[in-house]
Amino acid sequence: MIIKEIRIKNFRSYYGDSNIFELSDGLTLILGDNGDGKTTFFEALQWLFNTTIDRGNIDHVSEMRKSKLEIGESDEVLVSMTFEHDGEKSVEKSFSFERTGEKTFRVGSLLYRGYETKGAERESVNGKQLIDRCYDAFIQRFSMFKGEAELDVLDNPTALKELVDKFSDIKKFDALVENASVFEEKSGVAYTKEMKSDEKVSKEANEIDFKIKHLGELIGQKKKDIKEKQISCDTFANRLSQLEQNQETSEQYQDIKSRLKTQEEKRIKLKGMIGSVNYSHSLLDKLWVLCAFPPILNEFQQKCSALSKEKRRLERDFDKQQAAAIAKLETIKEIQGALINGATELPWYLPDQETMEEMLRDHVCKVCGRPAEEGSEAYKFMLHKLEDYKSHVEAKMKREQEKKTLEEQSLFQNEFIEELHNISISLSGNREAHVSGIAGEIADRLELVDRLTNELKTVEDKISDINDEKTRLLIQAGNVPESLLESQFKDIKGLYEQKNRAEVRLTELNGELKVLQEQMKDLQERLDALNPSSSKVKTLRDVHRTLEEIAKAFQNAKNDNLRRFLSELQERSNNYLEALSANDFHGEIRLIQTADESTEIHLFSSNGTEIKKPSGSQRTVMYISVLFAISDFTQQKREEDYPLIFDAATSSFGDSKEGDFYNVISSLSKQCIIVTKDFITKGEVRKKDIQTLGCPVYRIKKASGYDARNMATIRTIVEKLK
Amino acid sequence: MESLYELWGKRNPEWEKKYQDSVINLFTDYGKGVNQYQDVRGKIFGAGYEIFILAFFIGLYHNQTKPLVEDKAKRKGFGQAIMYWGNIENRIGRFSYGRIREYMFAALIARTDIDFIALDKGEITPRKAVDMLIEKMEQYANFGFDFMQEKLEENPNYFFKETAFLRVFLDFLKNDDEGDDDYDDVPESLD
Repeated sequence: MIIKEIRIKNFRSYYGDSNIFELSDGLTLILGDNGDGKTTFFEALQWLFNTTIDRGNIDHVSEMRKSKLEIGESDEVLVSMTFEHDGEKSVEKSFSFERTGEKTFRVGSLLYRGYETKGAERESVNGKQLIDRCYDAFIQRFSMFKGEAELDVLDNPTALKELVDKFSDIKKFDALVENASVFEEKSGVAYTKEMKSDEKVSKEANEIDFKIKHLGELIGQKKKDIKEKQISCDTFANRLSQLEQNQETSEQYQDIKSRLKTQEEKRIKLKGMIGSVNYSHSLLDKLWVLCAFPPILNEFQQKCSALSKEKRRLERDFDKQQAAAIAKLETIKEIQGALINGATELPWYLPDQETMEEMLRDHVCKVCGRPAEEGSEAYKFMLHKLEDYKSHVEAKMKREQEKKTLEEQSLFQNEFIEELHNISISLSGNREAHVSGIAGEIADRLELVDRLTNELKTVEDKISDINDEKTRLLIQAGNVPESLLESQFKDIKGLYEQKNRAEVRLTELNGELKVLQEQMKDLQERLDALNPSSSKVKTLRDVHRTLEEIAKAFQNAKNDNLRRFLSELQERSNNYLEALSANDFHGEIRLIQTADESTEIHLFSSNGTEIKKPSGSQRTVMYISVLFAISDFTQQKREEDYPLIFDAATSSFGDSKEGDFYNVISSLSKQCIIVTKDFITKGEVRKKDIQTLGCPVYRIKKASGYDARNMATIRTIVEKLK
Repeated sequence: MESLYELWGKRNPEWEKKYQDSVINLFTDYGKGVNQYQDVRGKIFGAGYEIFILAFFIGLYHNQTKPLVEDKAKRKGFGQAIMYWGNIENRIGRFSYGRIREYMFAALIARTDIDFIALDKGEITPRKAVDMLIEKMEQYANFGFDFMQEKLEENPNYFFKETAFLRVFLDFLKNDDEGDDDYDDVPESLD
């Protein structure tokens, strides 16, 4: 089947009836950016090919078309395809819709119409049947793919088996193999029956036959056991190989994790050390604000010291003056008179006042014993002496008073300077040393923080490196979740043990089977060695032997056929793989049969190592290669080719791969329709890259001027670029 | 008889109201009470006087004063006498730093032109002397507030770098040798 043309009318974003794609019989590219209608194109085709529905769906109607309909007006949704398949044919699927109210629409039932050209005549045929006949659901399954993920339909173990059954000749052998084995069985029964009834060997034959039957049962059981064990062995091996792939990863992961932990701990410690000082608070709490204070403190100390000195000097001067005045008072000289004959007078205090008063009262000088009458010279002398004494005493008292007054006088009333001086002294010594050290303390702290910050940066760089390493590891491991890597470390040990046990048992079983088979062979030989008397038995024996050979031959032929088919499929797949990969590393596809007769696709490196986790683009190319190869077989077997339709299957490809890949596909004589956003950068098609392509290219995009919030303004425009 | 230090400690220096919004509220929890959650406040400093102290030291180290507005109505005090400054700190991780008062006092004594001989002789009253100390203190702080406000006008985030306040003070260490060249153009200098 070659699709010639596809027409989409009013299907979702494809408004109106001008959306026509003319397809080449090789590659046709349909380019569109996100939201431009790529998937809608694909889904329109899926909708056309889906023959299991009978009702139209209002959700498929173009919102724009709906919004433009007046009440009572109607239109249709239609997808049609013209194609070549034993002559030109076309099929269309449609339904009508009518606006019945502001928000209501009536939707008609689905119509399938088919046309076939026979000679010059164009005949109308049943559309549904035409689709089922030319492009059935089975073929669809292996020819239409949405996104890269759907390509792994081939990973389903039964899918390949179905394909093999469909496209190889193995099915034909099945009947032959079955018939041959029925004949073989029947001839065997007849032969044994005759043998047992033969007079000569009947007893022995019966005995051997019994043993053979018993042994046959044992062998059958053993084979069954072996098959089961083989399957479980395969399962373990499979799980293990997946896990082994991750085991190394898991070990590396553990290593990365422990390194990460060490560095994270370092980071926390460093951060704690750096963050433990709040600079603004330290200005106050740690008196850092005093860093520039030493000169001022010095100023203060000098001022206090000077004031103290000055005050003391003033005080000293004052004290001196005081002392001089006092001394002056104390040093007043007594001027002593002289007696008549020039002799010195007694001091003024001798004799004392009491003695003199007594002498004056008694009118006698009690020193010399001579009388001293009142008015006499001697009396006058004594009276004078007494007055002199009294004035002396008075003067002395006065002086004492003056001295006392002087002594009580002071220059300063207050002691603020002493207070300041005391403060100054208390701020010296240790506290002064502390203030002078503040600038150094800050510098040390800043230096330390600088150093720690540098260390922190180093540690953070390391953490970032380790995290990168971790990310790379996880990417290489094929997006294995971290939790899996954690648990696999433990799982893998248990699995190894289970696998080993299963393998040991399998070997044992095989050994046992071999023994049984030898016994069987021996019994057969003994049976055959019996020399029956009846010639009928001999004939039956020959017939049985012949049929046995034939059955074996058919079985072998079936196996060979399957092997050949797979090897051819593999070869073709690899041819495509090589072509599609262009210069990239691509490895080698191997189709491997499993114990339960299904087939698996594996990718190997040419040195024999399996590539268990191919990259996204490797996988895509691998699957596409196998699909192409399968499509080759459909062409061979049905003498009809089918188009392969991919929607965004190459999203894991890089720019450089795109061009090569599409050029290779367009050079294959195979119809391929690929809807993709490759070749589009920032919403614009890279025209230069398109020029290098040898296939038709369509561009679909949203018509400009749409309202990003209103679906009714969105419409896909189809433009043929080349 | 009370000491000068005690008399000074009983005072409540004033500042210009215009700095309340532009500086004080920006950096301190001034006027917010102590019963609110610390983290809700999230200011660099706690009590309002903390920024006053820093402003004071900025003026002091620049050796620049700026007289306050005459209008008493445009001035305000913290309502917390100097003697309590730095004594109580409710914030986690902070320590009391009451000793800073002695240094501030010492600086004021060093820089205020008081005739201490006359004071001790009783020719001027201690009250007068303390008035002069407080005036000097207010003027230094006033210069400091003005300095901060200018910095903030240039760059509103200037002080919100971790080390910004510290750097302001470390700069005085550098200027020791070079003199206060940067600030020669400040016009309102009294000194």
